[in-house]
Amino acid sequence: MPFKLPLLFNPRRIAVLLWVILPVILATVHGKPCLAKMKIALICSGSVTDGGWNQEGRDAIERVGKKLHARVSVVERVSPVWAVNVMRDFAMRGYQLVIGHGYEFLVPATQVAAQGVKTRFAVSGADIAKPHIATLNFDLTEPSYQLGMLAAMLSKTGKIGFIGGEKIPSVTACFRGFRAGARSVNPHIRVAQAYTSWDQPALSKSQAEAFIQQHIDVIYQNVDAAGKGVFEAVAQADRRVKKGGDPIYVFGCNRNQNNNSTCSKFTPASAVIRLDRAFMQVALAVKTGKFTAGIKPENLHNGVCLVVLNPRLFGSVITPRMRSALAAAGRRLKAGTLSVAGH
Amino acid sequence: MKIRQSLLSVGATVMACAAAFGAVLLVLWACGYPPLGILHRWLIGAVGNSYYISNSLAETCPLLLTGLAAGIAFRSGVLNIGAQGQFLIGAMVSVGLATRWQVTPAVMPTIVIAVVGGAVGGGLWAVLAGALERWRGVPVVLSTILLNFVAFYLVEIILSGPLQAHGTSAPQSAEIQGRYWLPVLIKFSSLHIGVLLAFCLAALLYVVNRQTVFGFQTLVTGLNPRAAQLAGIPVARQQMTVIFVSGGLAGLGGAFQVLGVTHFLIANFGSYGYAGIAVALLGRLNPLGIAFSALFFGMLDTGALRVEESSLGLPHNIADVVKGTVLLVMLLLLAFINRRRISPTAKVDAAATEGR
Repeated sequence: MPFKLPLLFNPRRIAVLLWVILPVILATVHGKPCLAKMKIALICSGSVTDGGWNQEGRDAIERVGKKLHARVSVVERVSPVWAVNVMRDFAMRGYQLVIGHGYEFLVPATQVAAQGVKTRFAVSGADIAKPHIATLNFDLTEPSYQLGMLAAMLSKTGKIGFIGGEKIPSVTACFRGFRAGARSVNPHIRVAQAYTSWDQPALSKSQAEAFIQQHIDVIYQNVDAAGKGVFEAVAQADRRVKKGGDPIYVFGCNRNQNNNSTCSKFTPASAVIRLDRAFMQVALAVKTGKFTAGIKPENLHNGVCLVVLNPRLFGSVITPRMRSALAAAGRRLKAGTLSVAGH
Repeated sequence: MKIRQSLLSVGATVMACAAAFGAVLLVLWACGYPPLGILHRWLIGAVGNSYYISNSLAETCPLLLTGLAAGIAFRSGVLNIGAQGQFLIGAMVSVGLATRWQVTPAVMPTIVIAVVGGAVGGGLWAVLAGALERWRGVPVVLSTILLNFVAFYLVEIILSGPLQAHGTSAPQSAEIQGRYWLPVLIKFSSLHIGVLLAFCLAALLYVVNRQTVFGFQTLVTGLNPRAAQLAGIPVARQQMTVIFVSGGLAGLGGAFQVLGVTHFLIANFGSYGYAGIAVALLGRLNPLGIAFSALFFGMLDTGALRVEESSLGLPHNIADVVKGTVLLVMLLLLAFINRRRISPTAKVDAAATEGR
C-alpha cells in the first residue's frame, strides 16, 4: 500500500497555499510603506455644516484625500482647550499631516510640534510664523477689493456695509479690502462695519436688518454659519421691494455662496478661498518630503483667493462694464500695479 | 438608615448614567449606527491607554473645580450660575500674571502668584454679584448669568489690548513660557499637577462640609436662612464668604487650565462653567459625588472625540446629548425615589388633616 501524505502536507496544496498566502505575508512584513495610506487630519473650530469656512475646509480636505488616496479624519467644534490633546492624539497615531483650520490652533500646534513628533502641522487663517508650522495666510484683501468695487457700482444709495463674525486678522482684512475697493469707485461712499458672531444667525440677521434700515443696499458678510441670517434678512427685504424698486444685494465669503438657497437671485458674487489648492500644496509637500515651516501667503496671485461672480446675474445685475472693470482691477492687482494698501 | 439612603442615592446616579447611555445608544442604533462600535471607540478614547486616561483626568480638572464652585454655592442657597465668567476671569488674570504682568521672573513664585491670582480674580468677580444682591437687591441668579457675558466681552477686549500677543491682530494672549507651565505628571500628556490638587480640594471640601462649623453653618444657611439667622449665624457674611470661595474655585479652574493645558488664552475658552452646574447636580452637591461625576463627564468628552474621528461620522457633541440625558434620567429617578420615600409620611399627614 503506497504511503499517502496527510491532506495538509500534500505538496500541491502547500504550493497553492503559499501562492495565496505569500504575497499577503510579504505585503504585511515588507510592503507596509507601499500599502500604508497617507493620513491627514483636519481640526475645525466650528460646525462643518456652517456653509462657510469650516464646511469649505471639510470639503477641501476630502477632495485632497480622494486625489491623494489618503485617509482623512475631520474633527469639528474643537475648542483651543482641546486642540493640544486632539493634535497630539493624531500625531501619536501616525498621521503625517494635521491641519488646524483657524488661527486659534497656532499655539496648540506649536506646542505639539515642539515635542518632537514626526507629524507635520499646518494652520490656516493665521498670520504669524511659528517654528515647525506651515502658516497658511489666506489673504482675501484683494478679492474683497474687487467686491468693494462691485458694491460701489451696484449701490444706489451710496451706503454699503460689512458684517464679520469676529475682529480677527482674516476678517478685518476683508473689510479693509472692501472699503478700499468701494472708495476707488466712489470716494464718497459710506462703508459701515459690524462684528456679530460666527454661529448666531439671529444676531447677524438683526444686524443686516439694521443696515437695511439705514439704507445700506449692499452687504458683504463673512460670518460662516451665521450667514444664513444675513441671507434671510436680504431675501425678506427684497420681497418688500416694489416692482422696479432698487434691490438689496449680499456677497458671500470663504465659500462660493452664490447658489445659496435663500437669496441666490440677490447674491452677485462671493470672495472664495480655494482651500483645496492650499491644502493640496501642503499635503504634496509632506508626501514628497519637501515640507517647510513658515508663512505661506495664499492670495489672488497664486489663485487660492479669488472673486467668483454669479453667472445667472450676468446682464440683469452684473453688466459687461462691471465685469470688465473687475477683470481689469484683477489684472492690475496681480501685476502689482494696483495695491490695496495704497487706498 | 443613613447608609441605606446613601446607597440609594449612589445607586440612582449610577442607574441614571447607565440608563442615559443605553438610551442614547439605542437611538443611535435606530439611526443606523453600530452601538457596540460606538461604545468600543468611546471606551478606547476615554480609558484605552495611559495617555487617554491622563487626558480624561486632565479634562476632569476644570469640570471638577467649576462643579465644586456650583456645589458649594448651591448648598448654601446661593444660586451662583456664573462659574463660566469666573472661570474666564481666573484664566485671564492667571495668563496676565504669567506673561505681561509678571511680578517676578523667578519660576516658582510666578506660578504660585498666577494660580492664586486666578483664584482671587474669580472670587472677586463672584463677590461682585454678591455685593449687588446685598446692597442693591439684585438676585444672584440674575447677576451671575449676566456677568458671564460681561466677563466674555471683557476678556475679549483685554485680549485685543493689553494682553494681546505681539505680531498678530488676533484676539489672543501671548503664549506662556514653558518654564511657567504647571508640571506634568506623565510626559507628553496634559495631566498636570493641578488635577491632583483639584481632587485634594474636593476631599478637603468634603471634610469641611462634614466636620467643621463653617460647613454646618453653610448647610443651615442653605436649608433655611431665616432659621439660621435666628440661630445666630451671620447669614449675609456667610453667603458672601461662600460666593467668594465659589468664584475662587471656578477661577482656580481657569488658572489651572491656562497654566497646565492651553498655555494661552482666547475668549472662546470652552464652556466649563455651565458644564460645572450639571456636574454639581449629578454629584448631588456632595464634593466626592462631584469628583466622580466630573470624572464621568471628562471621560465622556475625551471618549467622544475618538468616536467623531472614526469612520462613524458622529460629532463629538454626542457627549453633550449623553450628559443632558443623564441629568434628565437622574431627576426622574430622584423624583420617583423621593415620592416613594415621603409617601408613608404623606399618608400620616393626610390622615391627621382629615382628623382620623
